[in-house]
Amino acid sequence: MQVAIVDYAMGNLGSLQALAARIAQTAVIWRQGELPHGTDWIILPGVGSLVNAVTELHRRGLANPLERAYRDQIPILGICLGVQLFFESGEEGGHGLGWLRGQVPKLAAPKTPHMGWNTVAFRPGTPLADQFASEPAFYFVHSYSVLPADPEVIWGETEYGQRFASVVGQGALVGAQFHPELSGAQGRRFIETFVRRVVA
Amino acid sequence: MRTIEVWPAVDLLDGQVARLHQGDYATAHRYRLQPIDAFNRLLDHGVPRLHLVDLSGAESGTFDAWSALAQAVRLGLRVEAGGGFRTPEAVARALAEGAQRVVVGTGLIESPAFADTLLERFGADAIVAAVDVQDGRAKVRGWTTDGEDDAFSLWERLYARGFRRVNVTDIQQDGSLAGIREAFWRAWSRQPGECGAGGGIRSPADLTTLAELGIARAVVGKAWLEEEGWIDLASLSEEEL
Repeated sequence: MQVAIVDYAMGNLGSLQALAARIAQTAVIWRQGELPHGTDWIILPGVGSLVNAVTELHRRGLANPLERAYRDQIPILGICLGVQLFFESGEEGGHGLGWLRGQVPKLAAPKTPHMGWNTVAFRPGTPLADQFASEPAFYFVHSYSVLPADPEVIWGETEYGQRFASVVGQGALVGAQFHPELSGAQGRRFIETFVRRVVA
Repeated sequence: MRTIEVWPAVDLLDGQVARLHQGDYATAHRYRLQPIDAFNRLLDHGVPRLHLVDLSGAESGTFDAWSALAQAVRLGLRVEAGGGFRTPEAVARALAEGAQRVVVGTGLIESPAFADTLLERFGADAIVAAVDVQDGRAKVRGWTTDGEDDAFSLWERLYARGFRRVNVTDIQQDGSLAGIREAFWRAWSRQPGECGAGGGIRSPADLTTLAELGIARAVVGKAWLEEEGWIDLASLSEEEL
């Protein structure tokens, strides 16, 4: 299957490309214009803050095709800033794509960024949960987290200063606050499970 | 014509742009240029690549140039970061914060287990092995300590483990603007994998020589930083960029 990795100058795509190759996905980098032909699913990555992200997507002509892909229910995996983009607005005036209702507040923790390995408790009954019943650890680097208005979209939660949604999902839209591409074997299993359960 | 990718280097010592001569911390030359101005200069010249080294980190064992890395990524530079990456966590953070690749030297040489962890967790594309050579031997810990190894056999072993990219520095020439030693690079060009070259590069002619030898990448330091820059970034041909 082919995965299009959105490149909007918000970080490095090499690790994602490498992981895609390891799980037998053909990775193409989507830099501008229409969704690359033959794309089965999309990774929306990103580091940094929401403030410039949507502007950059528009500037590259990616925002509208991405919106169409979302409406056509092409599976989209958001990672880190990518999952934050699913929501409506951030704390410092940035806004997201508004696909899921909710905000992106700063983490209420004594020290940010939240950085390093931390566990994710997957909510039983959600599509990925049975594969991760042991609450595995994933690798995080972030200062903001998503606060969904609808608790039903929360597929996994993590504790750092507060309890926050670390995995969200609705239909073909799934997002992780951690970096599966930097999380070793569990990260690989997370993406493989996403591909099997949501994409296929 | 064979081409070579130029990676301008910005080395930071306590957060300041600096260059060492032959790896000697005592004779460090500090520039007035702020890191952000150096990054912008690269972009102004249409060279969207940066070889970012934390010299303090290379010596202490902890990369600490996080804000410079984030700044460079935000500006849109492709960054390879090095100097003090001795734990998988530090490498993960650099990649998460947008570095394209992380340059690892000492850690790879001193710990095979660390080397294997990096390959398994991040893949060969994300890691560049740094082999810094003096008198045929690899130096470690910010070049303050001799490695045990003949540099070629060290790289052959890393290659056999799965690494594919190596950045070789010719310490004898580094920071000297003395030009490259062709025989040195001819020998490295025969090694397996993709070799990047650093140390003494001072002119477009050096770049051409390296390209003709089949060297894939060139790390250029003093030659682009100095006011009377020997390598005018703007003059580099498309192929070299």
